[in-house]
Amino acid sequence: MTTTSEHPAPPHLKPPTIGAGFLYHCSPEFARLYQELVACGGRIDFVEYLATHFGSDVEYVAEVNAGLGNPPSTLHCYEYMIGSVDRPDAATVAKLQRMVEAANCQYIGEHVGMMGTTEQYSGTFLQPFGTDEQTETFIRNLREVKEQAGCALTIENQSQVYNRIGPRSICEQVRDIAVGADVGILLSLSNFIIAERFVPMDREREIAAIPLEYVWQVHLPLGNAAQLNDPDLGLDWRRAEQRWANETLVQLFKEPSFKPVSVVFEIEDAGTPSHATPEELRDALEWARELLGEDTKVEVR
Amino acid sequence: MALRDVQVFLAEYVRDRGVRERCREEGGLDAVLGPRALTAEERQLITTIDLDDLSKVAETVLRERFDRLSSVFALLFEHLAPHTDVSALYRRFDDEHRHGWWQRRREIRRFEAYVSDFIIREQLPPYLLDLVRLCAYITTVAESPKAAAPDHADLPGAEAVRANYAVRLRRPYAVLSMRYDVLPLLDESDTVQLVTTPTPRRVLVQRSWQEHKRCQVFDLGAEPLVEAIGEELLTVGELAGRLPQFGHAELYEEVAALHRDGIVHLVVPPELAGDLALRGAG
Repeated sequence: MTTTSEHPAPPHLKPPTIGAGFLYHCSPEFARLYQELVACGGRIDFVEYLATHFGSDVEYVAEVNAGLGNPPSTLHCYEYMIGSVDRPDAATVAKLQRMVEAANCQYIGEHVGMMGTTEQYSGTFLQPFGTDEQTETFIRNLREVKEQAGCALTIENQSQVYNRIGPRSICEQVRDIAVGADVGILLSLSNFIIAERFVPMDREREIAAIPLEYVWQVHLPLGNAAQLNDPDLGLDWRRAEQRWANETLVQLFKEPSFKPVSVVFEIEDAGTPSHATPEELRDALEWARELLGEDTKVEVR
Repeated sequence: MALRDVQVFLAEYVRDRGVRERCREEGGLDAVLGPRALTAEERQLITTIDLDDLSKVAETVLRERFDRLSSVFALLFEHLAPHTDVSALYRRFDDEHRHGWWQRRREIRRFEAYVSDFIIREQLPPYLLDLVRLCAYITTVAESPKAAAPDHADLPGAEAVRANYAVRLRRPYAVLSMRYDVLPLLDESDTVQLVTTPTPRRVLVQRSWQEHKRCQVFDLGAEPLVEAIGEELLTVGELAGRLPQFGHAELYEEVAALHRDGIVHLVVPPELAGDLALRGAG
């Protein structure tokens, strides 16, 4: 069993910095948002897609990506069901492999969650037990997926939805899986916020458990500023959460070992009734680029 | 394989109201876990779960499933509401179908069948059956893969419509025969207007080639040109022969508009394809 608090340097090869992007939902609203972003002088270095949006139409991801100028992408998935004892069927694996090719995908982000079994879908990314057996299952599955996926893998910390079961907390398990399977980490600050609806997490302790050198990507929410500031909507708490996420990211960048290759803004379900405006997205992307600290104009493959 | 049984239990608890209710009874959790192949340690770990929290997860899953169905069947739900408690209907559906909804199109078909049975059994206004089908098709067609264009279609040099160019509807699409005219309801979602008089309609539901996951819907009775195009690869000249109500110039304009809006492919004769491709490239 791989249990380490003194985690070694990752043996994997982290890709060069990709830059800043956003999670693109396959809907007309997001197509308009992207057009308006470009119209107001904004740009993306890459884009993140939800694999589930292309489950019945795999080739469409290539068309969507072409419409955005063929940027590099990442795929956000649960379909590899890395926490489950059961494995995905061959057709699902083939679809995901094709999406990786079609979308110029640099790496996949999978949820450290449990999806149920082949017969019984849990309906959500269910919090796994923090036991050795469950952790080993993740590691074993990830080693298998690394051989299948056609690109690198990262794993995302989940929201805590019930009390800790077993010796590991959420992020301690993420740490042990990442080190054990040698994969990158998608550090979701958004998921700490979502956990407030269920079981609030000790954020400081949990983030301290993350081996920062393993972090490839960060997720953080971007809500509509006017609505966050609208006293009639009562979203003060949400504004404070977004500020926490931003400040946490700034603090993390002060750690020498924290060198993510990408920052992704989540626009949908970011806590406001409306999406962030194109100008807000443009400014957020620029801010993230500054944090990443280099000219991230990447060459499109 | 004991971990698999842990995962089965967690998934069942979240998805099965019956399991949740049994677990909350006195001694119920032990009874539910009893026949499962769990180790003593796993049983002990499960008993430490705060079931109030796990039930909250279950409620979230239930709500998200409803939200996803509502995004497909919102119009139907508005029209069902005067006749039945839609939330209760949904909960009964969820109780009977506890295993699915990963596969979205399968979920839509599952709900379509369930609610159609309900409408017939409860003898609700029959136009609702047409509404169910329309809602289901709008989403399933919108999420079906685009079919490849025929050879020599939509060449960059073929900007104007010509008599010997052929026209084909872009696919995917579905043609539905309906007893009631429910299309006006798509534009009147603010008011629930009963449709009581049967007015048979043939309706084309076509995936939009210009917007993500959207469809356009045509009443073929009111769109003779779209209806005439159909499956057969017909030239514009042939369409003119079949549609004498259109003047030639008007027909060419209509075909050009359908092409511009991404509704049809315009296919040039193979003998001209080379010239047009060159002109487009130039």
